[in-house]
Amino acid sequence: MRLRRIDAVRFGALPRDSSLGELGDALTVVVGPNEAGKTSYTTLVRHVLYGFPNARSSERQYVPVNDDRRAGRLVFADGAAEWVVERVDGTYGGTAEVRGPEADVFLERLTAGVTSDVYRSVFGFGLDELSDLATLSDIQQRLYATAAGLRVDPQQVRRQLKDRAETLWSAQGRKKRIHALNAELAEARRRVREAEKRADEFRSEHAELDRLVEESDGLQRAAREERLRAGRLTSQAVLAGQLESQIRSADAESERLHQALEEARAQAEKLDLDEGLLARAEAIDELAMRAEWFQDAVLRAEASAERAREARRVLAEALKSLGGGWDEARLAAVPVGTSVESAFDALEERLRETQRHLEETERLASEARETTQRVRDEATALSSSLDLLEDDAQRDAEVRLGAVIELLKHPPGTGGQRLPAAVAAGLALVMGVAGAVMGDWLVVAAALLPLGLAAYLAFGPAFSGEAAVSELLRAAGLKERPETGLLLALQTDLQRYLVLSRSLWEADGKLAVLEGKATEAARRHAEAAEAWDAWLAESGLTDAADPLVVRALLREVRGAQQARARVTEADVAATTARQACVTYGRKAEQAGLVKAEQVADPVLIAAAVRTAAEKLEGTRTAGRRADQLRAEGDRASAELARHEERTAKAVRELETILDDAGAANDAGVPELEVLAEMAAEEAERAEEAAREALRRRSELQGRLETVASEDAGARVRLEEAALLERLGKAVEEYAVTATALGLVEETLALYERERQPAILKRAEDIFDVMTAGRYRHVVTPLGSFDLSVEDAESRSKHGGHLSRGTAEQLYLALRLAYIENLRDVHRALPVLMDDVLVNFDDEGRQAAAATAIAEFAKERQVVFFTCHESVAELFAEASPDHVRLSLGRC
Amino acid sequence: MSRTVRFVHAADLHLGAPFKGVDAADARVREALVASTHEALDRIVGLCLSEQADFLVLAGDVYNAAEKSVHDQAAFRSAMRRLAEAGVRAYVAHGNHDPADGWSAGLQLPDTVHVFSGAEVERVEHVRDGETVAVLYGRSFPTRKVTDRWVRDYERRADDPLAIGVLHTNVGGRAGYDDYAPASADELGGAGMDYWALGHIHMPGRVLDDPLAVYAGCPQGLQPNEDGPRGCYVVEAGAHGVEERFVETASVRWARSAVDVADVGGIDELMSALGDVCDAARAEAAGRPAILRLDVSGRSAVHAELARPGVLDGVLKTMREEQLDRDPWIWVDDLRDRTRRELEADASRTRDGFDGELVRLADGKRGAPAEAELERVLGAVTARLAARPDLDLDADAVLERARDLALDLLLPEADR
Repeated sequence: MRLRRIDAVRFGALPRDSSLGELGDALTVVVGPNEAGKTSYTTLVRHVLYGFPNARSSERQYVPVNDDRRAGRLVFADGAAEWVVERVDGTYGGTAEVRGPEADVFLERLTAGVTSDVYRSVFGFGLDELSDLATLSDIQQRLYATAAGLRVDPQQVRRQLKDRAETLWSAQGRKKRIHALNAELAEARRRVREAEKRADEFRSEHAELDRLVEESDGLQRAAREERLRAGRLTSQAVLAGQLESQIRSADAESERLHQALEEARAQAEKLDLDEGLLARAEAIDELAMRAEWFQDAVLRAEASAERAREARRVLAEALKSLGGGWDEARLAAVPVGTSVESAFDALEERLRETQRHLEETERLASEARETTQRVRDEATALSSSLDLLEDDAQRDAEVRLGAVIELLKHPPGTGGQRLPAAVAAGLALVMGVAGAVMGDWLVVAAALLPLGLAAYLAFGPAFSGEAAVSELLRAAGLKERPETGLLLALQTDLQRYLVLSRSLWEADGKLAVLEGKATEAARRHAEAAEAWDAWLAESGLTDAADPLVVRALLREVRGAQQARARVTEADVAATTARQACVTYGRKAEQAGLVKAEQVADPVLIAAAVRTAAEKLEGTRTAGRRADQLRAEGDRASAELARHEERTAKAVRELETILDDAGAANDAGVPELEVLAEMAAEEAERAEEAAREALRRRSELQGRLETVASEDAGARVRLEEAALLERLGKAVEEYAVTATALGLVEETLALYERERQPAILKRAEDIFDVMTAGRYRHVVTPLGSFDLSVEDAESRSKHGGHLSRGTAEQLYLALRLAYIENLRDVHRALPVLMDDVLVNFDDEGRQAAAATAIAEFAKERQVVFFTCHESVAELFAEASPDHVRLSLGRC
Repeated sequence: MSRTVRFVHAADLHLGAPFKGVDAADARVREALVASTHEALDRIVGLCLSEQADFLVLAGDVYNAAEKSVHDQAAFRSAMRRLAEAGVRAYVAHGNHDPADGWSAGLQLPDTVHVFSGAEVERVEHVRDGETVAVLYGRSFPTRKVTDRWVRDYERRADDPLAIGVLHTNVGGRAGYDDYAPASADELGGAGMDYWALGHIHMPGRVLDDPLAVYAGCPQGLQPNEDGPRGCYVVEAGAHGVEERFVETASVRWARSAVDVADVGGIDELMSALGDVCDAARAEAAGRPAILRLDVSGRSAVHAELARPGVLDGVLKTMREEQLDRDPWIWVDDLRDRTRRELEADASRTRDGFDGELVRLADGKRGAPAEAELERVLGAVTARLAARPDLDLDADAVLERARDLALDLLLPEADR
């Protein structure tokens, strides 16, 4: 596929809808004068391929004469197909319209790997672009990347790695990552050392603590002992004072006790005591104690006698009420107790119950008898009306009822099957008549068959039913069959009789049972009456038999018995009280308070007992006072002895205390108090020393405990570990990055030394041809575009020092070599050159260049614009089969 | 052994030991870690009381003497006082981290604590109700380095009702631990003990089945590689023989996990996968908070995203914030990017371009050159550091990562 035609639809000064074509497959030389549009066509191809520049672009705009929108068209073709790429100016450079096979990807494939700038510099260029090759970084990168078989510039990779490595570390760096981590690590390690130093201090201070503990414990012990001694002396001084006081008060108390003892003895001697009275004191005390009881006994005797009298009166009235037959003896014979009343109640209930039961059973039996008789009378009457057999009327009624029921099942006139018989007879008649009419005797004879059938159906069953009905009439006691209504009435009567007969049988049975119960009730009632009579006799209550009367009698007997019991109780009480009074009097007599004849005089006895009791109390009071005085004397005597003993003991203790305190033999409590004060002051000094030692100990102990509880060391070591870890990772990353950098740099050096880029080698060849062997080598350090050339004698000349023509030859050679190297760029992307040979130093070099271009065009289509006929002729010589086109002035 | 004897066997408490390899940037995590070894000690004491243990055996390294921590030694004394108040004796051996000549705060332990002599194997009878029910043989480290085979001095008496050997030792020369007081399984078996209460190795577990020889392990993991359950043992000796039962005492679990990004398409999916791993770690921790170290490995497009500056740190920050808000919390201590380019370096190795040259250059540097280069780089960086971090870098691995980093930049995503 090659570019065949360039259509300038509307573009710059080119005529509207002008075209350039047909272009050749390899080299096309377009010859035209200046202003013929060579540059316009070169530019138009790029704009159709990549888009028109917008108004803000510094590039020349190629606006059409009438300010219309720019538009162009490229026509590509191969032997089989044609592709048209047409672009009209618009947004973003206008949209390209492509027609032809796979039109949607055509343009993308065609320009793949070549940007607009690269195209302008390498594919469609004039003199202006020719020397700009060195400024295109893309081409530089491409140049070396291609040389290195890469898409990216190895120098760029080297710089990336160097930047990365220097981010981590550099020899002169101070703030790189590794340096910063190292500084943090140094700080962490300093803090670790501080923690260790504190631990060492702890150890020595802990030893100091042990010493302080021992010292403070010793001082505390000494202070405790001194304090104990001072306390002991103080206690001893206090105790000595108490002892002295105790001795003095004991002496005074002894004196007082002596006096009290003497006074008690004197008072005791003054007391007068009646010994005789005291001898009878027990009897008098008893009589005095029972004096009130005695008075009560006298009163009770009188009251009991009065109650006895009243009870006798009531008893007499009760006996009188009972009647002549009753006296105290009979009264006593009637049993007492609730059992009598219970027996009475039980017998009375039994008698009443049996009486009630007897009457009820007799009433029921009487009703049953009446019912039985009524049924019997009705059955007899019905039997007579039905004319039943007298000796076996029930059996007769059952037989007759069965016959009547059967008769009712066979109503009169049910002797044959008359309708079928009539049908058969009719058929016989029809057949007979039909046979006769037709004169067919066989038909007539055949009519005999339905005729016979009719006769059988009409009369056959009737002969057997008549005999059975006659038998039933006989069994029913009938001479002839009555009307069905009468048969039904007979059936009802017979059934009624059979019901009555069954009821009568049941009534007889029930009556027999009730009569048996009545007989049993009568027997039980007789037994109850007999038991009642026996109880009355046994209880002595024979005056009446009626239970109501007997209950009233029993109530009165109970009242009389209670009156009699009260008489007896009152008599006994009066007698007992009188006997008690006499006994009391006897005791008063025995105590010598009354004489024998005065024993029955309760007033006298009471007065004598009261007088004696008062005398006895006076004598006793005097006796108790005497005892008290004696006891007081004894106690005073014993207390006196104890005081004397305690005084002696206190004196001895005081002597011991003074000895213990180390006081002089003649020292006393004041000297002892002085010693105690001195000891207390000494104890205070010892305690202060112990407190001071303890304070220092506590302070040190607290400090050490704080140190022991701190785990700052662990934290800072963990921090150190983290920093080491980060530092290790950073160093590792640096090692990898630096090694990678070393690898890239070594490879670059190898390339510079041993492997020139293929483009440069090719450019060397082309340049060699163009300069007719003047220059053999093109050299540039990898990663820069600092071109130098070497001549045949290996003399190097920097690109900047070359003549313009030679430099343009070099750039053209590099460009052709570059394009040759772009094997992945579409072969149909044409190269358009705009008169680039004009500055070449001589015609020989132009011819060499033309030859190189013609050779190049064999691989990639070239359109060469020139306004110099001589140049066109050089191409004609270099490539005789090229296509030549001409352009007129625009 | 007619009467049952029950005791708790613990070791390597390392009170106050610095936690290595953790970047506890969050205050809550720091506080939990600082308190964790002490809480483990409290749990051991609580276990003694709840199990009504006859005694407690501590087989060395109760604290780190080098850290000179008064607080830790005071806490240990306090714990021993609690046991003393409950009438529980403790038998303690010094280990290489708390040798008898190590720094001491000079705090007096209760009389119920017996510290084994450093001069020789000491025989101590444990008496209960007037009867000797167990005999403990033990020896403390007098100084930090003990290289003699002390185990040969342990020998039980025939009449010992229950013989317990207490030794801080490296049985079988286990890698990663100093080979102090070395012993072999045969030597342990030949001493006639009924139970060996061993210390020094932080991973709990049996060393020998008959007689039972057990490392209690550390009751609280101290660094990322001490993951999984950590605690102590309740040992019961009776007519049935000797049996041990592990009880976890750690307050904080350490955990490590990896996520393969082979099927992960982007950062969001990676975050989701990391969240799943955190959930699994949380479930595994059985209600304890955990410190989790995550490695992201494998080949996928995520590698390129993670390689971009700030992305990995952003993911780590987000994960930390999310997981700290959960209960129990998880602190994602580190998120290491071990992902690889989607395309193997082999793809470049055979190419003629710059990348191929670089890969071949890196290949040629493997081994000694890489070590020299790493040492040169590290030497320059670490020369003036306050402390050299424990890098444990493999020169070839660094070289490989450097090569991949360069390739990441040289061959961006569009090249693949």
